[in-house]
Amino acid sequence: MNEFIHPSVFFIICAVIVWFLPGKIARFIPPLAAILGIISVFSMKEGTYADVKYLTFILHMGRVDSLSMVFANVFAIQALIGFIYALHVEDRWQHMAALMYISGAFGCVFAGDYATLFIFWELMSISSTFLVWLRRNPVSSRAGYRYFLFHTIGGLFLLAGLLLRYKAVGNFTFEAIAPSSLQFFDYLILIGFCVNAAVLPLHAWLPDAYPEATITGAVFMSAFTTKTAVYVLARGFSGVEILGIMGTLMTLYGVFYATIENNARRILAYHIVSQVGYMVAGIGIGTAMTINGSCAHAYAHILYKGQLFMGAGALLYAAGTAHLSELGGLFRRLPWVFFLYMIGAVSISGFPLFSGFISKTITIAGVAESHHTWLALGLEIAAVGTFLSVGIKLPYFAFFSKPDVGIPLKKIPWNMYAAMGIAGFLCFLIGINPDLLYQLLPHELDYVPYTKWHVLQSMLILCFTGLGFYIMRKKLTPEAKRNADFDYLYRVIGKIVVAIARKPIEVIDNLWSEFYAKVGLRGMLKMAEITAWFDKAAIDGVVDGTASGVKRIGNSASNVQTGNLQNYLALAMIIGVLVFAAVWFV
Amino acid sequence: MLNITESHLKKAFFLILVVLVVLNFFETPHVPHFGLDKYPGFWAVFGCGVAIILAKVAKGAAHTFLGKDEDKYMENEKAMPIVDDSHHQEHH
Repeated sequence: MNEFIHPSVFFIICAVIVWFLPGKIARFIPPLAAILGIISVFSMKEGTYADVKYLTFILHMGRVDSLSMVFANVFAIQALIGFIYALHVEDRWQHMAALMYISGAFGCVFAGDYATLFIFWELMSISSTFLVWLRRNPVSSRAGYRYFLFHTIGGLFLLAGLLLRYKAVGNFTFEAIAPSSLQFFDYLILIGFCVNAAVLPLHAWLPDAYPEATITGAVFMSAFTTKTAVYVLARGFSGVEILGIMGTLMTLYGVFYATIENNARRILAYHIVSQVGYMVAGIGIGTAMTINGSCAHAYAHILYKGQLFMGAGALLYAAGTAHLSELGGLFRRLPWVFFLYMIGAVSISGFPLFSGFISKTITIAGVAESHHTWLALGLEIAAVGTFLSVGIKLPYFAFFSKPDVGIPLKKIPWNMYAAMGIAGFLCFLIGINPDLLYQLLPHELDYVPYTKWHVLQSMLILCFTGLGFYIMRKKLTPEAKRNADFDYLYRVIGKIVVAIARKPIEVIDNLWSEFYAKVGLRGMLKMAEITAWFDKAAIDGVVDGTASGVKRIGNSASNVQTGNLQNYLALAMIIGVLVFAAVWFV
Repeated sequence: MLNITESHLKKAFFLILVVLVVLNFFETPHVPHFGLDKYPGFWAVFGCGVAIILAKVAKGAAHTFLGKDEDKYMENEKAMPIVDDSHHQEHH
């Protein structure tokens, strides 16, 4: 027991501390939580810890094995990088949301059963919604609302699945399921996981909400939500063939949209869909090599995607916009942002010497070796698209393309550069020293990334992608437009539902008013006269004071009901935690 | 001080491309997975070809049916009954 301290504990305690401190001081607390988290994760030994009796169940909060360790390891490191990046933020609510969000992610990774998983799963969903809302503008309010609705639906699928499963099997055990024996409830759980993994066509929340999140919030969100989902898929659903196909489609879908997007952070968001596609595909194929590939890629991806979001966030922070059509020629004024961004860009593209090269190729080679030739070809096409849009298009149109447009720039705080420096260093370190990562993987790995052919093949693909861009550079100029994705569908559906609902209600309302005016009113006035007399004469005499008492309660209740969903949700979370604590201790 | 111009960079880039293709004649995959990839130059054609096709197809889709005016795209949101602190208070 004393070898294992659940990392979530540090993050939750720090969230409470941050709550009581003024923002100027509170911002120094979160990195401490991350450092303690790193110490806790690096000193962990495999085993089962922290079984907590809750009501009649036992919650398994500490399943530490080779699979959970890979994810916990990179989660802890990325938490520290993210909080260094956010060190200048004085809004303590943002820090609290991020701390709770990360504690949820750790909780999911170490969860040994579905009940525990669900609790932390929902904690992540709620607290990450706040990372969107705390941008505090109307667009992010709406985006966060859609984000929350979608994750609630995903969470309900998971809940329905695990309850039906409990009824059928009699426990909440969360273990790998043989793909041939999947039951209806397993599919419900799978759908719940797929929502968070942004599997097509359930992905639209991601490119919809991430670009509207706070600058630092997007850095956290890029790391934890989808990768937690990848972890649970790898844990429960490896070898489910459909995931192999959907994963490959995700890689292609993501790069397709990224090629035409204008908002830098939305380009990166589509690349999360694309890169998570590699991991989902690897899990779907389900050989030891592709599972290794998925885990390695998740590890590398968290670091380089964080780096890219930090770079685009720095652009947004300095220039006030992330729209490529409004940027350009910033290289001379932001050279360091460019260089640090490019480390992330060459990593995601899989250039030799950087982390993507040693992780992505495992999955592709594994898929090809298991004779899924078409899927492997799809993954190679996506690799070209990745370098085209993140590696060349985004930096070219932000930093070069035209003479400096002269946007006034805000000074970027030192801590943002420091965080990007650390992440960049790690991308490079893993790239030149793959064994650092390979030794963490859950299965024995027989793969050598640095052969002459692998290096030459990668260089051929990437450099000639560069040639393709050079030929098409005029055509690829970003335009100030938004490209319809599945979220367009539910916006339109929402509009239609509102319109449909409005019509009948309007008709009924009109009829009722007419009826009321003609028939009801006269009778009612008479009735009112009588009851008023009765009330005054009889009741008030008996229970004097109750009326004013009720009024007072009503007033304080209406203070609680301010009508903002944000406040409701925060309140619901606080009440939830209190109820949870009360049941626990009583 | 070396004076590097755009045309120098361009020449260097094309030189790298040529060198890579030449190297490809000496180094080929031990186990070709796709058939055609046993021929030198396959991945060069693949990289360049996919980049061009992707750009053409994606941009084509954006220009014909995917691309929406940003404000119009957002307009669909406003019909939804969402409590929106800043906007609504201005109206009422």
